[in-house]
Amino acid sequence: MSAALKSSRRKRSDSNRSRVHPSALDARRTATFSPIGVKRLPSQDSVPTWVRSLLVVQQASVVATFALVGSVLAVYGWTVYSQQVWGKEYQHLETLRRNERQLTTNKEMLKDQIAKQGNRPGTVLTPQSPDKLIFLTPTSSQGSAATASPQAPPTGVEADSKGTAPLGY
Amino acid sequence: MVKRGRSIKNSRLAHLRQPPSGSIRSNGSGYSGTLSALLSDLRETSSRVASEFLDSRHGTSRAARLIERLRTAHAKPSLRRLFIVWAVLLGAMVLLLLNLVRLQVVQAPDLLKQARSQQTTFLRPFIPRRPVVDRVGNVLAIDQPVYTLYAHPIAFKEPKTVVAEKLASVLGQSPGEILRKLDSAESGIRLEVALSENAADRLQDLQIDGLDLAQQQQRLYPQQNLTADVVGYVDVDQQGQAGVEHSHKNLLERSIKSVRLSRTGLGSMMPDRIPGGFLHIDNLHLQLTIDSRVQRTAQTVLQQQVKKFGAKRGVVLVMDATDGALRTLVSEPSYNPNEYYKANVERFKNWAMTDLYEPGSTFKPLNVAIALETKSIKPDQVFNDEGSIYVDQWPIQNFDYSTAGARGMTTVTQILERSSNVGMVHIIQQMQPNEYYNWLQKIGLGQTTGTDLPFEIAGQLKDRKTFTESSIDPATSAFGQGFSLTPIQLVQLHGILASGGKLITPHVVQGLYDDAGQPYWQPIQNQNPPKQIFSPQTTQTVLQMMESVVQNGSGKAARVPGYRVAGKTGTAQKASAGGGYQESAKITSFVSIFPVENPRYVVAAVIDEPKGEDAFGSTVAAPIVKSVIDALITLDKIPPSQPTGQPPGQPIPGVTPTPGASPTESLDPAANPSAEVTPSPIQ
Repeated sequence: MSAALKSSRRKRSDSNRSRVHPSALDARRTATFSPIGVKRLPSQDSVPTWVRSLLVVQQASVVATFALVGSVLAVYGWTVYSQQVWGKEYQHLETLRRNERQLTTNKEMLKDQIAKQGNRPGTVLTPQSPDKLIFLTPTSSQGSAATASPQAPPTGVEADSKGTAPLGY
Repeated sequence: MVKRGRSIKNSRLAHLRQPPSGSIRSNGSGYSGTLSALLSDLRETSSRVASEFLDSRHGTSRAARLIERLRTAHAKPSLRRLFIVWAVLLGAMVLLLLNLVRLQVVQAPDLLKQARSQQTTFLRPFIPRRPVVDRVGNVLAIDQPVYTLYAHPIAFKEPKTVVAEKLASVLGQSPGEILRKLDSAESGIRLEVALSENAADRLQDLQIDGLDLAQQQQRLYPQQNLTADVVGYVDVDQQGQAGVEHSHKNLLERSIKSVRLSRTGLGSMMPDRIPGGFLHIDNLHLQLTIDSRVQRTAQTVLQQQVKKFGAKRGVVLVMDATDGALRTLVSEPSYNPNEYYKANVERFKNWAMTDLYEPGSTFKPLNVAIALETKSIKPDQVFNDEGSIYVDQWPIQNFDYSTAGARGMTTVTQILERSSNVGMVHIIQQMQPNEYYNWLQKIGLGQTTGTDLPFEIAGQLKDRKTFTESSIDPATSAFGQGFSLTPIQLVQLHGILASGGKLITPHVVQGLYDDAGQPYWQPIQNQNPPKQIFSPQTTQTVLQMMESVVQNGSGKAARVPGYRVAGKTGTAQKASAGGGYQESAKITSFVSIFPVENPRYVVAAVIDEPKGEDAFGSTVAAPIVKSVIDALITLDKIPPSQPTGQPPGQPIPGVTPTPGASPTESLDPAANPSAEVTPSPIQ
């Protein structure tokens, strides 16, 4: 049975071959031997412009599609990522606010405590009083200017005016 | 296949049906020989069947046949089959649609609720009430979140004893005590009221089921009772009940809006539904004019004096006369606003605003200023001080009449120095009662000062008819009795003298400022020009008279070497509830203005009902004022007015320690701009 199948297949292919060959020979014969009434084969240059423009459109749309898909993925990823980042940063902000609050509170409570300790008997802290202050009166600019200026230390005014003079000593 | 199977069967049956003639023939008559031949034939047949079966098992022939059949097959269009396919597809679509309807319509509300509860979180950000700071930036009031811990033993997954032991380390309570509380109910037990943020974090780390932390706001006053009378307190509902917390609540409160946020599977929040400005909490704070350093000094000294003289209460006020800013407002006894619920309710009122008293002799400089302004008297005019006189049959005498008797001819300055009542009556008698009454009204008696602290009450002044008809009312008003005012109004009145004659409004709020110190809001009273009451000449004359009071008179206790301090003592009898005056109860006060050459500060101390024979304005209140002035000098770095030891009472030129410097060089900052910047204390 299988032998029969094989033989029938072979037969069909043989018949095809016999059908193709004569027609190819005919064509060759026509091309070589009859110069009048030549039919030109369609060449690649003669693709109509509308087809070409469609091809361009197709290529462009493929590129655009990939670009859009890429950007959509990027934007989506960014939205997800940015929200996560926001969540983290918000928690960070809350922590910072809380630290600030606690620092302020503790600082003020310490101030109060130290001030109260200063009022206790036996403390080494003494309150400021006017008789412990020394006020320096500026020399008047008139009259003393001539004598004062040569002796005046140059660091103050000049350093400020130059701005770069070294101050450390 | 079928055909072939049939042929095999037929051939086999044919074999079986045919008699094994050959073998029978060959063996002759032996039955056993026939049987063996039959068996061998059977074996042969079965082996052929088996080989064919194996052949078919390998599928070569069967598959080939199937392919052949498919090649030759012709699809017959069948309407029935088409309908079945269509029906199956349609049925599937209908089922899907029904499921969609079930999910989107029927179960939608429940599912939506479920999703919301899983995905969204109600973010209630901690938006604190704005902080209150003093003029140098010390925080006087700040909000902080605290937590209330609730326990629900019904939801515990561990034994109560284990939970109690875990909680004990965080709460600082004994496990037994916590266990006792946990046994009290099945759920909703309040274990702790004001739990700090750190403690709340530690509790959350324990991950105990059945505990609940509820966030609340708590107002913290780090300086405790230092500024309680100015700042006030907020109650448990975050409502300001006293002081600035009450009067400026609209500036301090910020609205709290809870925001619904989506949450990712990991629990982090997604910001897509956040309203604009959610993150931006304005950083404004309410700045007061109070200086907590001066405040602390004043409080310490006031406490000492109140204790020393067994006084009922006392108040110290310091006002900057240039704009009316109160630098200090201390009341004693005070309360701790952090634990306001423990304090006596009476202490919540600031009696510097709410209680009237008769100012007594501290009012005399104002009477002198009125008389000078109306040109009823001259600064160098002399009056006969008889020591005791009768006005409308009422006796009026000096406080020291029993010892000093009649003083004879005295100048206006001496009248103030000795605080002579009789002399003051003579000065006021130079004016028409009607005109005098107009002036009392003009300086604001009988009205409020308009300060920004709450619950201020107006002073009391008799009506014009009563006041002008009898001559006793103007006479008693001459030495500050017969009308009443609040301590803050006394400061305002002396502010007229200190500010060159302007009626300024004492206030404590400087404005709303941001972190960079830029003003966001400032009170209107800072912008309106104050009303001019007296001429600057008049006020300067009166100030010099008051300076003499400190240098030579009753205010010696307030002298500060090197500084020109003006002042006036006051020891007034307290009016009794049934009319007249109480014999023993008095109210002592001292008001000071300094520095005289460039008046800036009004310092007043009022002590109510000090006990003891030596309880006078000069002994009780003046030392307080001196200490406060000392603090102001050191903190504000006020240079001395005169070299120590120079005779007082004269207009003193500026201090000139450097030999050869011009003696006319004044340390008045207005006169010498360089002096304002350069003198600096070295301590």
